[in-house]
Amino acid sequence: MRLLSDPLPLRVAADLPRYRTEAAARVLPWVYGRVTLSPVPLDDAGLEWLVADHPVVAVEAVRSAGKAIEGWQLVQRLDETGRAIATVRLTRAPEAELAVQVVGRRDDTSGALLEHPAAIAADLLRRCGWSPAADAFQGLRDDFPALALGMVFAERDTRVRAAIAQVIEPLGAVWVADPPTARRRAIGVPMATLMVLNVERISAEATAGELATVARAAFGYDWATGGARQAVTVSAPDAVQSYGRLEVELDMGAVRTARDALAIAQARLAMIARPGWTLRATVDAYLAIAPGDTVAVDHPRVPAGSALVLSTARDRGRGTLDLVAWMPAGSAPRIEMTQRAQAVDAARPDDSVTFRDGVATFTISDPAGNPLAGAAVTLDGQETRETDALGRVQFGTERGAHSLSVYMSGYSPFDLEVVV
Amino acid sequence: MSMTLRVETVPPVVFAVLDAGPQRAAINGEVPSVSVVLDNARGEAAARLAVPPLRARAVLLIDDVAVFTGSVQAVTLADVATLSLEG
Repeated sequence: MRLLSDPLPLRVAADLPRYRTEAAARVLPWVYGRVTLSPVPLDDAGLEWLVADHPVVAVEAVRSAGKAIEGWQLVQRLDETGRAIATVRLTRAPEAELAVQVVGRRDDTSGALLEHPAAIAADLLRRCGWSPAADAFQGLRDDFPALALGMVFAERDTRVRAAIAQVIEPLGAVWVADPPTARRRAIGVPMATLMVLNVERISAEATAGELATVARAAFGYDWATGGARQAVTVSAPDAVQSYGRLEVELDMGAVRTARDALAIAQARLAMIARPGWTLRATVDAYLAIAPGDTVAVDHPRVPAGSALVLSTARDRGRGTLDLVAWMPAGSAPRIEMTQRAQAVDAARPDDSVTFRDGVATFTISDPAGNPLAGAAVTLDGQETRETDALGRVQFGTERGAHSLSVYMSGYSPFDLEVVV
Repeated sequence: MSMTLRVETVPPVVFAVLDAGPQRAAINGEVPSVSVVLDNARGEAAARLAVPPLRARAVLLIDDVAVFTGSVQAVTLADVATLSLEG
């Protein structure tokens, strides 16, 4: 069994008997959920490309230079070492960078696609020799019942702990590895009360550096290009008034939909847009408190309230328990969305941007890829036009970077950063 | 000599100061700072600072003369309450 501090047992191309020399150091990826990634070439002719170091549910598309190509086949086979891999075989070598849209790993038992964070985290532990129970990380299923992530693990020396953290922590959740539990980082029902009778020592600290009043959450990561495709910005207007505009970046690249990204960003900003106390206490060891529990605080030295336990250290020799907990101060702030942004460039699929004779044609689509007809589109904050039935809108403009602001009934306004 | 700290929240609050640390200042961008210690033996400061006045403007006065003005960067509550101010 691997320790949390050990690396994931990821292989590199050089571990295969046959690989393309210049790709020797490429990590063979583990793929969860629906993602777009850059495959690993297996032969010099460029006809076979590894998409995952395990079987996958499907390959949905293969693109070269942003254009969907024909003449490919998903092959799930054993490599020469006897390990199952997923590759795409092409009828002819691609002329440019290849990107593959993959639906990743299945659950070994149920056959279901592993895309929920609880399922992904449990599978990572399983791949590292752990035996998580069927209800491992159940709290995540309760707190995020319909959430689907898309993730690729293809970084050499990714530690098991870091891998689990990549799955769980961007959601604003806290977790424990043994037994595997996790839940949204939020105040719950107190399990115990810290008071003069059971507290040996207590202190509380609040710092301005932990405050943020505006959060930009990048999501929809594209592993082929190495960047998030979309972003949503939320703000706490009352907190902005009190503390100023304090911006923070939230990396939630594995989140795929704007709806999920917005919900998570709002919950996370609500936690940091008001002051919070970090409590440090030494209490009687008989208190049954574990990380993730909520405790009530009723001690004259610190403010009263409910606190979320972040860590504990039990000293059996002294009969004490040291704990660190977090307690919000004041009322929960109001959070609102201020901006949605989507990155688009001319190299992207589906001809999102074309340019001919000084006229740029943009195709505006929703996150599912359906064209938005009748949307009002403003170019560089100056000229506004409406999209046609195919979601297309044209502007006379010059080549270069431009911004498009899109307004459509039923959708939150969003901005597109485009390169013509 | 009497020391008081006026924190300019709405409404402003005034604390009697037990002690004030050295007023630090340095070249190369480090901002002037000072730590102000308040009594918290009976939890009075904990109650009044339950919502810490982070980033609020605060003025340290000695015998009613302002000697330091800054914003509250951190609040620590234990046997005493300590407010860290940055100019």
